[in-house]
Amino acid sequence: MDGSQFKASSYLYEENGIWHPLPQWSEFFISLGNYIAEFGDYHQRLVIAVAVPSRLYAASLTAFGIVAKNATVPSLNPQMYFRQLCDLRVGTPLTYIKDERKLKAIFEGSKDITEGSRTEKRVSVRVESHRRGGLTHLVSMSEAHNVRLRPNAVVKLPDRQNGHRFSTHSKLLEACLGQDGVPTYLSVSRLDCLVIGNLSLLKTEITQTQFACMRSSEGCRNSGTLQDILGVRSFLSTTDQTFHSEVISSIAQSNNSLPKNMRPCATVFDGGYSFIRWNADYTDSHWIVILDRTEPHFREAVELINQHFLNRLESRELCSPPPAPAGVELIAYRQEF
Amino acid sequence: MSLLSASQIYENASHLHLVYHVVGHKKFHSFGLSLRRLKSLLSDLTGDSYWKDFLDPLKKYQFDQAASPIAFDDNSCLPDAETLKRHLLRCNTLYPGLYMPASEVLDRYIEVSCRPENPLFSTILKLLDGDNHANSAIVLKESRLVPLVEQLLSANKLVGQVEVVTPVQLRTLQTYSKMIVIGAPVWFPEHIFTAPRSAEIHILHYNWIIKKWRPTPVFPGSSSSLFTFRESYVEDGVSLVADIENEIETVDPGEVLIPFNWAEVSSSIRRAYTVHPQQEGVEARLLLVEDRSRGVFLENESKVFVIDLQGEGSSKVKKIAVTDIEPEMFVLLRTSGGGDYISTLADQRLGANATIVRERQQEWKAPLRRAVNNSGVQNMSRLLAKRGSQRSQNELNIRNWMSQETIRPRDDEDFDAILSSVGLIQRRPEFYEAASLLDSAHRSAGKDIRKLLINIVLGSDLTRLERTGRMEFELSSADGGSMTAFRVMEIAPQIFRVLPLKLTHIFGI
Repeated sequence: MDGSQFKASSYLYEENGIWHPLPQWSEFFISLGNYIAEFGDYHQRLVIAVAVPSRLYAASLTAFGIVAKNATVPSLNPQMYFRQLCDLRVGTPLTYIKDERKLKAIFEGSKDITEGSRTEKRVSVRVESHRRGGLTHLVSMSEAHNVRLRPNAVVKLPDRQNGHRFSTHSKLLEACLGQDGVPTYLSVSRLDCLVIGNLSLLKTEITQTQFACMRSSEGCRNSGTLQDILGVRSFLSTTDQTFHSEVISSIAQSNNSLPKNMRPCATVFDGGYSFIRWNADYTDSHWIVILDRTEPHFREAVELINQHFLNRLESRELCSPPPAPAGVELIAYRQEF
Repeated sequence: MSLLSASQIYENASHLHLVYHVVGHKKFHSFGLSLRRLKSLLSDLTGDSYWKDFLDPLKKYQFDQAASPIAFDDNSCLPDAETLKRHLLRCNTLYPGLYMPASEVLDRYIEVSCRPENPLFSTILKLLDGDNHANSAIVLKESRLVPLVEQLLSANKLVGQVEVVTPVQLRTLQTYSKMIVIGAPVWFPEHIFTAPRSAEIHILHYNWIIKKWRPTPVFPGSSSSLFTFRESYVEDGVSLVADIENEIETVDPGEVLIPFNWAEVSSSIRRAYTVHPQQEGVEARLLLVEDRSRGVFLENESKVFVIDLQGEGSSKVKKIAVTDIEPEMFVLLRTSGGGDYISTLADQRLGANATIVRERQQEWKAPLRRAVNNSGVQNMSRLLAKRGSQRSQNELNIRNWMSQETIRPRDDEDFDAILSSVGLIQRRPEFYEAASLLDSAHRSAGKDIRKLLINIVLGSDLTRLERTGRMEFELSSADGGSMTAFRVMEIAPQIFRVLPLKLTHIFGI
């Protein structure tokens, strides 16, 4: 599913053993996530607050919209990307994806390879230690997307490396990103989105509810949970899986669990209390604030949002988020980071 | 945790139908107007204790009758007319100019309070007539009125089919086919209408407090048209094509509410509970529970267990700082047997040391008690002060130290002064060690009891807690006591200084 092409009618969820079509209101939250992911202006913060009759699934679906959209944003121009790889400093740690396996690697420079009458530049990627021969792959421009910068430094390459097979991905992930998009999605961790709220409720929404895509051409269901797409770091079963988002509890003592030096592109505050308590810690990301009208902190959080609104950059008409469904009130504005 | 429930709520919000049912009752109306006239004449005097004693029960009666369908002559809500009459006898002397209007109020009250009917309930019965009342709810402003209305439903064989709820319960995902809201819409939090748990909300109110609900956008520039709802009007059972202007004298719904007066409550609590600076007091927060009729002090720097109804599994029970408690949370307090059970468990933990440790404690407590009995607490206070005690000037501290509830004085200088005055200071390390062992065993036992209680809470159906704001959890073992969860209604804005033995005990306001 490309976030922007999302149609609630193509999706189902399971409750009490029965599959139901995804309701229309859910489409709004996914679109909201898409919208904030597309906004991408790192000089201004986009703030979107919604007053909703129930917080249920609103934050999870918004996060889904953000991650799904980011996963389908077209990558850099292949030529430009290949040139950037060639310009890396020798010894730069990389991840190399080969045969659906993820390998630790080191950049060893670029080489011109002549095959017949053709000379082609290749990126030299070493995956094993020099002691055992130093297995090195020469990666062409057409395969360059399989080479990724590794966020954490590789200190040492093993003598032999089979790599990690990507965790068996769900059919839902494949339906959302397309078969070609899955390896790229699974190869690199990044923090597209941070959700702050009731940890146990969010975990249930993200990891327990089954969603499915009904493909009209095949008529089959591709089921999975939101976690298959969100890749919430703290909900992953193994440490070698890639993550794309994180959830922290609004009553946590600190946010130390976040990966160091990782700033979320967008922060979703699930509930007034989350926003009141944590907004000052995430001033360098876009904000989506879900305010449940029934919660005790609703009024207090609304006042805080409205105070922020007074310091907005410009007229909010310059933002055009997706139209809210009946019963949902929305405000959108921009602020300086 | 249900997408279906959430969808139902969104569906309700987009197809809300509000039906206003306006009912009249001449005698109740006359009573309300006479009350209003008297309040207007009294002006600032309404706060005077003489008039408060007269007006408060009548104002409460007016509110209860306007906010619930109980009969006008229901004993559970009736102020005693004879008491009020006696009270009014002094009025002729104290406020001769106000005697007539006050007598008028009392006469009108007596007239209405002997009536067995309530037009609100007749309207409810009409609304619930037939088979279409399954999954309906009656929404009341005050949870203390819930049992009375449930009795009324039971007498009319409607119990089990119609739920009686308060606004707090309408925060869950439970939805209804029909909701009947009793009273003026402005008495209720706005989420009743903006996050509706039913697509069909019937608002029942008297014709003299008419006040329609109008949605107010919360964000600047939002349009009120984002709330789509339709309205219809029924007066005394007859459908109207449109709302009609009131032809009778009306009362502002806000006037009927009984405001909560923190200043008044705080000052009476301070008089009764706060300690002298010389007393061994602790800083505490005052929480009001059960319709603000009862209170509890919790030590400001401590933690307390709360029940989070939205939590899943073990996260339903959390331990949070007292400073983080907020209204609407449920605090878990030990309400019976806890203290004794802690001692028993503590002795089990101490094993063979239990007897020795308890004996050590008695070795200094017994002579202290004897000395106080023989020479009086004032003499003991002077003696302890002479030996370096800072807090012995307050007699209550000495009584606390004598008590079995207190393991030892908090400050070493006070403990040393006691040991010295009873001739045991040479064996100081023995008594300090015994007190330390006892304290640690008590803390550990307390933790185990809590674990036990948490397991019981997690295995319980918490719907009653949600409905009534209070639920008791019995321990399975005979001497285990019980813990009770209370919904926090208010938290005092100021910090109190109280004796430690006053902490965590529920008391009447």
